Amino acid sequence: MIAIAPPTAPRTLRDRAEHARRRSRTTPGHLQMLVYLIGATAAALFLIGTSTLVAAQRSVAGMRHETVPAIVGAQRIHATLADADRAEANAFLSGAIEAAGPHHQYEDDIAAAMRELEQAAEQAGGNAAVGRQIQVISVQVTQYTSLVDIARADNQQGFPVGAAYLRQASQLMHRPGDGILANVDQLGDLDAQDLGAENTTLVVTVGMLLLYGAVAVTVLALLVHSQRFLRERFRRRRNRRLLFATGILLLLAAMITSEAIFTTQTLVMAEGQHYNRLLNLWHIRSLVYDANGNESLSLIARGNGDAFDRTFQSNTARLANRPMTDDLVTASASGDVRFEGLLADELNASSGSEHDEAVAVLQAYRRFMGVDATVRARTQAGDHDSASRLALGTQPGQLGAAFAGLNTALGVTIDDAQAQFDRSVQLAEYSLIGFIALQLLTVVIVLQAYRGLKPRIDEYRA
Amino acid sequence: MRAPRAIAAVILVGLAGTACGLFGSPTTGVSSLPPPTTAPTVAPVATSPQPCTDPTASLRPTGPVPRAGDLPDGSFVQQIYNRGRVIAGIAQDTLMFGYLNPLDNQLEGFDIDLVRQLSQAIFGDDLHVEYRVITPAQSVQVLRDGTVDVVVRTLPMTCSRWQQIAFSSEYFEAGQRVLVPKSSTAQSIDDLGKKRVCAAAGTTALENIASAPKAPVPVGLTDQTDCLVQLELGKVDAISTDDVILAGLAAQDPNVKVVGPRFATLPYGIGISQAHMDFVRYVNALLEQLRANGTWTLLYNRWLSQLGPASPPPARYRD
Repeated sequence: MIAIAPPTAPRTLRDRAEHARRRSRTTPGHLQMLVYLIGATAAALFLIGTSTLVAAQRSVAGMRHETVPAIVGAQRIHATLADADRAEANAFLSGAIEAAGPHHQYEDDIAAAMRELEQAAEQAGGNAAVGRQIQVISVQVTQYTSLVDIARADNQQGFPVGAAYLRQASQLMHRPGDGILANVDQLGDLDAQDLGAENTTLVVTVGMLLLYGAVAVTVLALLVHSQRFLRERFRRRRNRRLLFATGILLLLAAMITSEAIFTTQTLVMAEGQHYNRLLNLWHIRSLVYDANGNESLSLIARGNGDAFDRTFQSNTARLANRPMTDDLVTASASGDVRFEGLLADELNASSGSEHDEAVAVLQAYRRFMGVDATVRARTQAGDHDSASRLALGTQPGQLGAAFAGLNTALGVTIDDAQAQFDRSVQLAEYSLIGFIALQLLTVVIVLQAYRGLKPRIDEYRA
Repeated sequence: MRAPRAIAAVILVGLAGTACGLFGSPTTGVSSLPPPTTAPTVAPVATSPQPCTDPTASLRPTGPVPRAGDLPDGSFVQQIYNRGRVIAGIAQDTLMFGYLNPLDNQLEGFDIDLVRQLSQAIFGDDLHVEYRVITPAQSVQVLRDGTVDVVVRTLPMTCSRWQQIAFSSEYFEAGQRVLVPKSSTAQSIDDLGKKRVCAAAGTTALENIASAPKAPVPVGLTDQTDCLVQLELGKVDAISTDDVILAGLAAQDPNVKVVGPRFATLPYGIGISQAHMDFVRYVNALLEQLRANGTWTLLYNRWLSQLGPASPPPARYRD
């Protein structure tokens, strides 16, 4: 016959806590508890550190591979479409038997803009607002090219209505609020919202690092307490494994701190300097394209282009708020920037070889505005044919050549700023990946602490 | 749509080519016209404008056109001569009257040739001209502020404009009609009640649309060709302006037609500042000469023969 033990009453949580408290007062129980606590806090340290770094790495990677390329892409689309409008105005200005160069440039620009829009649509993924915006722009670009096609057909037949179609097309491109370029700018704004979200993630990451620091201090306190406990109870001067675990913890904390500082500095530099310069330079390029296009439209209007002239003045005033002179260029080259505007911002933001490039852009701008003044003087004197020839000419001293020089100088500077931005963000991203791997050191901390305490626990079991 | 346009273009180019065959290049051709022959007799007298009862009545010339380079001292035409060029406000989008031919990037048309005749009279050749392209809405202002010496761009003579500027005698009589898509059932301005009807802003034509009995909705745009673009894009229902301008627009689009009778008369005069009434008399003397020596008819046949045979409108004077 089997004796059946009387049923025991279920243990309550309070009973369990009381049992643990009583047990922790014993030496093996206390050591056991320390092992558990160190393991738990180290696990928390690992989770917080890894998740924080992974979140930061993802934000930086998103910034580098998606968000900033999308924002810069929008700027590039803006500039490319503005250039298309400029090139077609120049083609029109050259007459019904239009010069081949400008119209080919128009076709290349439209094709490039459409490719960029396709890429942007692919990158947009599930972002419905971005997708809708791209669709609106694509439809408008198709309308624009249709208007230009009609304008060219009319022009080639000698019909003056062609010029009206060209104006209509250009208006569709530049109309404030709902024109093509305005919609492209709104696309850039939507992408900039993503950049804002990524920056918010990075700010949260910094907050998480404070929590990481607090947990690290707790682990450190437990390790120090364990060391002292062993010294008091077991008369041992030091436990090497605990000491090793403590050293690794301190090393990890120091590295994470330095990583946080380095990444923050790198991103501040990348976003605050290289990224802003990049946007500024693309903005300059768009304004230069618009200015040149407005000059051609004004020449097509033959003395009735006040609106285009005002836009030209407005565009160039945003580049430099004073008429550019050789003295201003020379002073700027030596660091004394005596004007305001986007070109001044670029000069002030750059240093070393970047500054040399910025000065080269300013010199090219000076030449461009110099030839522009001659074109305008001839127009003012009623010599439209000569003004048009000078505006379209690609020989040295003619506006086409001056524009090409300015565009080339801007291209070199933009490529350089883009490369610097890419280098900075790439460095931050790779650095973060390295430190994610370093989080595995918390496993070493736990193992060392366990192996340091286990022999003492075993002494009581023996 | 493109093929009929191409045919229209060939016809137009052919017309221009024929004209060039008659006159040579647009720049040099007009110089073959009979030159002015008489001695200077125009007195530089400023005359204040009188109450307007007949907008086509201008100031009577005091004699024939003075010989080129032998102009009355102190006159405005002498000032123009001393400056070296006459500054003319013109259109560049009005086929047959004033337009920039994209095929050769030259300004052409009846109005342009009138300006060249003015240069011929003052300087002895037709090369001393500075063209300033203006919109219809700018016509009065550019005269009042002295930007140009004359406006020769299908400018109707009206009493309200006489209050601000002066006119030469009438050099062409147009009438206002309607242009609609061929698919439209509208036959005249009376069929366009509540419809959007376009004309260039600041024109007499736009005022006439606004005051039409069936109350069409007037739409004013910068240039006449802007109206054609909006009609082709379906954003307006019709264009109503000078019939000769409509003929030019119809020549550029085979899908439109001119309908209805003239419902307003639009007499064209050369606009001149009221500060230069002596110049008004000078220009009227020149127009008298062009009428008399057959130049007007030659120019008409060169640019406007497709409108049918015509003779110059008789000059009417108020004094």
